[in-house]
This record gives sequence, structure tokens and C-alpha cells, in this order.
Amino acid sequence: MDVTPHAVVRVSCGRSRREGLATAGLTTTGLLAVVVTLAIIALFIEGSVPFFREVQLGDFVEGTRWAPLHEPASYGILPLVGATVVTTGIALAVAMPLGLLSAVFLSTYAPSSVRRILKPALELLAGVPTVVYGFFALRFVTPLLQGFIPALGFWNGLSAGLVMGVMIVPYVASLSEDVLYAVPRSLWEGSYALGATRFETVVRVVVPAALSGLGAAFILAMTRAVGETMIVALAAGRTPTWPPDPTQPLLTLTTAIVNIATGDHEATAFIWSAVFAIGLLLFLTTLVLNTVSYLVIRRFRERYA
Amino acid sequence: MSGRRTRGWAFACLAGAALGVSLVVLIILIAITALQAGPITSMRAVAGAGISLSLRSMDVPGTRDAVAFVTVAQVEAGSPAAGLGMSRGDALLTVGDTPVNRPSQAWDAVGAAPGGREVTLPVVWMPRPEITLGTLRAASVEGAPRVVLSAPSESAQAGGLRAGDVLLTAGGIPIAGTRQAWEALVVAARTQGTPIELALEREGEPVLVRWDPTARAELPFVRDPLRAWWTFLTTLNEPRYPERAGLLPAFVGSVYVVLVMAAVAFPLGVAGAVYLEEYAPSNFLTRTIEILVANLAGTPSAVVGIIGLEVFARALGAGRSILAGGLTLSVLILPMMIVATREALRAVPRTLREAALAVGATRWETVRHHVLPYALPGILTGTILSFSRALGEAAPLLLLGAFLFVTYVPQGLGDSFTVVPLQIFEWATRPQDGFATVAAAAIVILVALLLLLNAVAIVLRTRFQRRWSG
Amino acid sequence: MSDPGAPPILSTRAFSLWYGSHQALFQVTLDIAARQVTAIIGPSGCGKSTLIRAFNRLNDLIPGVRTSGEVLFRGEEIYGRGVDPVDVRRHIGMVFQKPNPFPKSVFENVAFGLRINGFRGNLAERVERALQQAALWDEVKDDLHRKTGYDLSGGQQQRLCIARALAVAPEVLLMDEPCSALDPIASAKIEDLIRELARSVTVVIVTHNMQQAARVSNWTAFMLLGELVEFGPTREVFTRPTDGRTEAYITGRFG
Repeated sequence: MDVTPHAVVRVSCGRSRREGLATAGLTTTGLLAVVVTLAIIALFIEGSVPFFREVQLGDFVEGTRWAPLHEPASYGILPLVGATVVTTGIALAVAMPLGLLSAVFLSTYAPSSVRRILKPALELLAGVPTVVYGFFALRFVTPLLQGFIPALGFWNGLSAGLVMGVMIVPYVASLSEDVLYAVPRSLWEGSYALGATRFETVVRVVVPAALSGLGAAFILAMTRAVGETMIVALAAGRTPTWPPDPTQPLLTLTTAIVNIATGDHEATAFIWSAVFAIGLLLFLTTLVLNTVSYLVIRRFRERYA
Repeated sequence: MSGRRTRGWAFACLAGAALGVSLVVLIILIAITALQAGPITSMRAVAGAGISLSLRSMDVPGTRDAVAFVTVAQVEAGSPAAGLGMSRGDALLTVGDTPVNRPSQAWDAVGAAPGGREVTLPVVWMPRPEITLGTLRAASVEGAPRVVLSAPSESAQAGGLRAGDVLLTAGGIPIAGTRQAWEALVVAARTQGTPIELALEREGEPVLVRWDPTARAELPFVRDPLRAWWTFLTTLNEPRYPERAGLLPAFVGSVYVVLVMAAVAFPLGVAGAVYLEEYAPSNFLTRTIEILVANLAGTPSAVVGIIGLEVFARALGAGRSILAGGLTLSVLILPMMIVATREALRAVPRTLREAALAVGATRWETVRHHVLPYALPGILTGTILSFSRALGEAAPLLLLGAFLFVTYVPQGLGDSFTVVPLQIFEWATRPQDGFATVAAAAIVILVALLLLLNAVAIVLRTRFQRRWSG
Repeated sequence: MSDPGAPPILSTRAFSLWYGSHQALFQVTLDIAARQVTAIIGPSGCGKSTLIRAFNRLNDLIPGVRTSGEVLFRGEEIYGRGVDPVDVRRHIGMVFQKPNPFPKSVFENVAFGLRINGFRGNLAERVERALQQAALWDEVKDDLHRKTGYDLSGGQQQRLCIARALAVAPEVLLMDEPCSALDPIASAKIEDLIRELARSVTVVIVTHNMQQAARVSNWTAFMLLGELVEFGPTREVFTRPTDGRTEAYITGRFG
């Protein structure tokens, strides 16, 4: 060899500096995620301090009247939580069975040609913006339902919840299908080898094996429904009621935030601290749900890795 | 044995039906929304003839009822309507043969009229009060209100009215006020037709006058769906009249906000994913980052909006600007970008990395020259999907306080703005005729754009899978 | 066959390696002679690939890997503090089980190592020589820039990978079952090439195929369950093994 190895190594000084720079830069980005999240938590806690200084925690948690603009103001969170529970419950009651069955169909029964068309179709539909679903609930589902339930309000939690459920179906289906797919082929084949039908294999072997993963999918669907804003803002109305009635207007946690934020309030007004208090509640709820589902899914993956 | 078969079969059908129902419902949703946007063609035809309509109502004296009628709220200079002498404040009575009680009836009449792209329809209108009647004066005789015609207009004189006449009823409708006098003529003309029977008191004597104060003419309308959609997309928004609603400010706002977001979220997202996938040591910190990223991805968009408002709009002083909007959306989209990019990086075979390292490449050189180019289609797919999600997102920007009424095209990063989904939200919440149509039209444009982006992403992904799996 | 006085180019001294809590290599000690072909044989999972990947620190990429003992390259400890694994890999090239060309042109595949190492000579000439050394030049010289690595046949791809490794003029070439994904004719070509290469480069080859080891190597190491059972001149190992386990393996009683 006419080129000695050392002649080639000579320039490696600049290279290692570049390598160091890349490592440092990329590490910074990674840390940014931590900083941002911590900053968010700090922001919410800091923003809601004045609120909890003014409002007794007991009144907040157990109060059944939400009237921040009335005199005297009342900050009971229960009507908002109740409304969120109602719409989320309706949405999950629609989305879980439909989504789960769709996933089973896609992973077990659908021939690969059908699958190749239906999966992208579901994904496309998952890309439809939520404001579109809100419009649909308000202009189509509510009038349709009023034909069956004459007492149904122009704004109501029922049609918002139903449409929200339809919106989440592709999400649940895609998550559950991934989970079912992660169950090793050997389990399926083991069951088939014993003479089980596809139905028996799915119901007796695969779904039980995937139960924790499906649970995580359920939790993720729940966080989607709890955090959904535009559908309820358009179709569920803006009236805090207790006890919550799905046929009547409701004010969910997210719409309460929208209500205050779109109102004409001074940036220093006390009412903004209520936004932070609700935001903190929402954030902590989704933080717990997300973390649980993340850990469950990871354990599930590790088991079958 | 056959029982087992049947049960399996029934279950398969049930599962297939579940998927089918979901898909069908979603497709119906989009189809119905698209149908709702149909009248935009005739709305634009009316606007194109030069008039904007608004709904008014007359209080019926002695009752709590109100009767609706339609006035011309705007006449565009140089338009066919202006040429016919219509002007602001006139009441529109019929279009074609259809009596018009609400603006939507005028649009529907134009839309339903037989004929091709261009139609000419007879239009009947009642000129505004000062042309029809002249000057009125409110008087009071023994506590009872009386409306006196102090200076009749030319039209009123031609109809046989004199100065000093006291107006009592029009077509049986009591006249109770100076404003209401003309409204009573409008309602009488529309409900009973012309001439109107007008009861007067002239010099103490009751007088009955039969009078036709309306004007009529042939107004040409151009019903061109393509032009209607195009002008809808490319004109400024006129927030009061749905037939002149334009998507341009919101569309440009969306483009700007997404560009700002892309400039922030794309490099950060790719860098974050490369760090987590290629560099991060497997330790507590990395696991924490992963959980936080997963969490950030699941944070409700309303909460992200609060962050944007507090951090970007207030603390950093960006205000309710495009800059603040783009930054807020990047907080929303960054975790999605990271998750998608990591998946693309994970699909790069390990052998490719080993091959580069084995010839003495550093980690960065391996990433830069081999891993990133190989993963690029996957990264782009994820990017398009994340961006299309951001394009449809309204909640965070609603909280940020993006202006709902934006009637100008934003010029720079510091301008206030609105985006298409927010504009849809604003239109959808307005009860007046026509705004639902306009909202549906904006939805059609937005969904078409998003479906296009998603389809590109899906095609990109399948082609890329085929290319590397071979 | 080898000059006993010449210092070994690569040696291990009581080298052990763990993947997490699983120990994959146990106190391996061996010397690899310069400009000779050394084959490492043994049944699957015996640690031969782990050992060869330890020579250029490619195991560093797997999380949870720990080592003890030494690997010396020209008497220098490659796991020592301050040693950049990138430098090590520059001097000790590698060819993998499955051909893994970059999705780039043939020319760029070979030139990549030179470019990143800041080579400032005649790039085309070096690429041509590397391709000639790998006996691929005549087959690709007309399509250097047009064909990508993926357009070649499996055997050509593997020779391209060899050329890519040779381009940066390594002193040692590690080959991890280079023929396992190839048909017999392509394998024979690679074997010829290995014998040719040994004139200028030290070759360490891991193989499943004992006949191949016997055909191409000067030295053979037999490994079992992470231990080096026997090491010696190939002819001796195959004809007069000193360990019963080696004999059992080469006579086909397990493996």
C-alpha cells in the first residue's frame, strides 16, 4: 500500500470535533423535551397558585356550581368533570367495541388485499380535523337524533359524545391492531395446531394474551376523548349543569377553558387563574393516563419481544 | 363442530360489520358536509350580481310577533344591480317568482331557476324609505302615535300621497312609527302583492289610496361553480355577509403558521429522534425523556393552547401573532415528529450502520451519510402526517386567541391571523343563513387538502417499503 | 507456515465479554499472525461472531456490553482509555454475513471510507484498485456510477463490500461468515479472493463451514460455548486435534 495508514488518520482532529458537536447538539435537543415538560408543569402550578389561594380546594373539588363570572363567583368543578365523564363515556362506548372489532377483523379475517385498502382508508379518516366532526355533530347528528328524542337540546352531550366516538374509532382500531399484531405468530399457530377455529384463537388465546396492550389502547382513547375540544365546543354547548344530562347542553373541562380564553378578559384578571387550575387538572389526568398506558405497552412489548 | 363454525362465522361478520359501519359513517360525514356546501354557487351568483342581503324583521304593532324580510345590505358599484338602480337599504321582495323571506330563499331561487350557467330573473324590490316615502314625522294626538308624511318623495307623490297625510294602515297592517311605516309597506307588498291598499287621514278625512311603490327589473345571474369556489378561496373575508365570505386570510394564515411550525418542529423533531435512537445511552434520563415525549404527544391540544398563550404570547411577548401560533403548534407537533422519525430510523437495518462504522465512519458520519438518507422517505411520511394534523388543529390557536374576524391577508410573522379550522369554527357557530354553507365549503377545501397530503404520505410509504424490502 | 519470530498483529489476553448478565466469551487468549488467514470455527452461538466483532469494537453499539482482559492491535490495547473506536475500525476492516452495500452507486460505496477519512489523492484510482483487489473491477467498470450496490448479484455485492473495506487500506480484514448468504460458485470466488488478499492483508474469517476453513486458512481456532478450545495451524487442528471436543466437532458428532 503506497498510502500509509497514518497519512489518512491525520485529519481526524476536525472529525472528532464535529462528532463532539453533533453529540452535544443532539443531547441538548433531547434535554429540551425534559425542560419543556417540566416548564409546563411549573407553569400550571405557578398559574394556578392564585386560584387556590382564593378558592378553597374543597369548594373546587366538591362544588356543584360553576359560575366564575357571577357575583358571588362559584368555582365548583363537578359540573365540568361530570360533563367530561358523560361525553367521554359515550364516546368510549361507541369507539371501543367498533374499534376493537375492526382491529380483530383487520388482523384476523381480512384478506391481505382488503387490508391493504382498508388500513390506509382508516388512517385517512383519522386525519379529518376535529372541527369537521364538530360541524357534523351540530348540523347533522343533533337534528337526526331530535327525530327520536324530541327533548334533545340544540346543544347536547349525546351527539357530541357519539361523534367523538366515531372520530376515535380509527385511532382505537390502529392501536389495537398493532397490539394484536405484536402477539407472536407462534401463539396463533399453536392454537390453530390444536384444531381451534379463528374465532376461538382470537377470543381464547390472542385477546387474553394482548389484554394489557388493549387496556393501554383503551386508556389512550380515553385521553383523546377527555382532551377533545372542538367537537364539544361546537356541539355540546357552554352551559354548566349539575347533575349532567346528556340530552342537554353541557360544559366540559376543555370548553370551560375555551369559554374563558375566548371571552374578553384582562390578561391580569383572576379568571385566568381558573384556566390554569382546569388546565392543571386536565394535564395531570392525561399525564397519569398516558404514563400508565406507556408503561403497560412497554411491558407488553418486552414480554413478546 | 358446526356450532363452532357458525359462531366463528357470525363473529367474523360482526367484526367486518363494525369496520364497515365505522367507515361508512365517516364517509357519510364527509359526503353530507360536501352536500351542505352546494348552495355556495348560487350564493356567489347573487353576490356576483352585486347585492349582499341581510335579514331584518318588523315588529307587528300590538303583538309580540315579528315578521322577517330581506334588505339589500350592500350594492357593489358598477355591478348589474347598481345599474338597475338598486341601492343599499332597499328591501328585496321576490326573485323569479319566489317570495323572499330570508336571504337563503333568494339564493335558492337563483339556484333552482331553470336555465344554464347564466340566467336572467325578474327581481322585485322596494326602494329604501326616503325614495319610497320621503320624510316622515312622528306626531302624537291625544297620546296616540301618528305618523305624518311631512315631505313626500317623487314616488309617493306619483302614487297619490300628499304632504301632511297621516299614515294609518298599509294592507291592514297598522302603522305605528316612522321606521316601521316603510317596513309595513314591505311586508304588505310581499304578503298581499301590489298595489298596496294604504289607509290615510288627509285633512281629517279618511282616504284610501291604492299604490304600487315597488320597482322591478331583470337581473342577470352567473351560476358558475368553479368561479364560485375560486372566488371563495381567493377573496378577503367579508364577515357580515356569507355570500361574500372569503377564505383567503385564513388560508394564508394557515400557510404562514405551518411554515413557522415546520421551521421549528422539523429540525428539532429529527434531531430529538436521532438523539434518542442513535445516541442516547440507555439510562434513567433516556427513559424519562421517552415517557415525557409520549406524554407530550398525548397532552390535550387545549392545554397546549394555554402553554402557547402563556409562554409565547405573553412571556416572550409575541402577542397573538403568526409567530406565537407557529411556535404553539410546534409544541403540539414536536412529539409526533419525534415518534414518527424514530420509527423511520428504527426501520434502517443495523447492517447498514455496521457497514459504515466498519470502514471507520464516526457515529455522526454514519447517521449523516447513511442512516438519515435511508430513513428519509419514512421521516417525510411522518412529517407530512404530523403537519396535516397541525393544519387541521383549531383548539390551541383558539385558546391562543387567534382573531376570529380577520379581513386582511397577514403580511409578516408579527401580524395577527386566523387559520382555516378556526374560520370554520367561527362560521359554524354563527346562526345566520348561509354561514353553515360557507363553513361546509371551507371544510371541503380543508379536507381535500388534508386527504391529498395524507394520500401523498401513504403512497410515499408504500413505495418506500417496496423499494427496501426487495 | 508462519514465522514464529514475527510479533502477532492482533492478540487477545484473557478476554471475556458479557451481554448484560450473560457471559458470551470466557478468558479467550490467542495471537493472530500478520498476513495470514486465521479461521474461527465452532457451532452456532459459540461466540465466534462476538469475538470477531470484539476485534473492531463493533460490540460497543450493543447496550449493556462489558469486557475484561485485553485485545491488542500491534501491541496496543484497543479497549484502552483514550482509544477512539473509530480509529480502530479504520485499521481493522470488516465484511459481514449478509452483503450490506450502501444504497448508493458502486463508486460511492467504495469511495465512502476514503472520503470520510479525508483522503486527498486520486480517488478514482484508489477505487479502481480496491475493486480490482476484490476481483470486481471487470464486472462493474462500465457502470461505476450508474449501478447502485443493490443492482449487483449477491456474490458481487459481497465482493463490493470487500472492496469497500479494502479501499481504506486496513491492516486486518475481519470476515464474519462472508459466504453464508451466497451460492457455491460465488462462495468459491470469495475463497479465491481471500487467499489472494492474504498476501497484503491479515484476514480473520469466521465460518460455519469446516471445509471452507480448511481450504482458506493458515490457522484455525475452534470455539465452544464462549471458550477457545483449540488454536493452531489449520492442518494440525484438522488432522491431529489435541482436544476431544475439537475432534468430535470436526468429525461431525455435533454442530
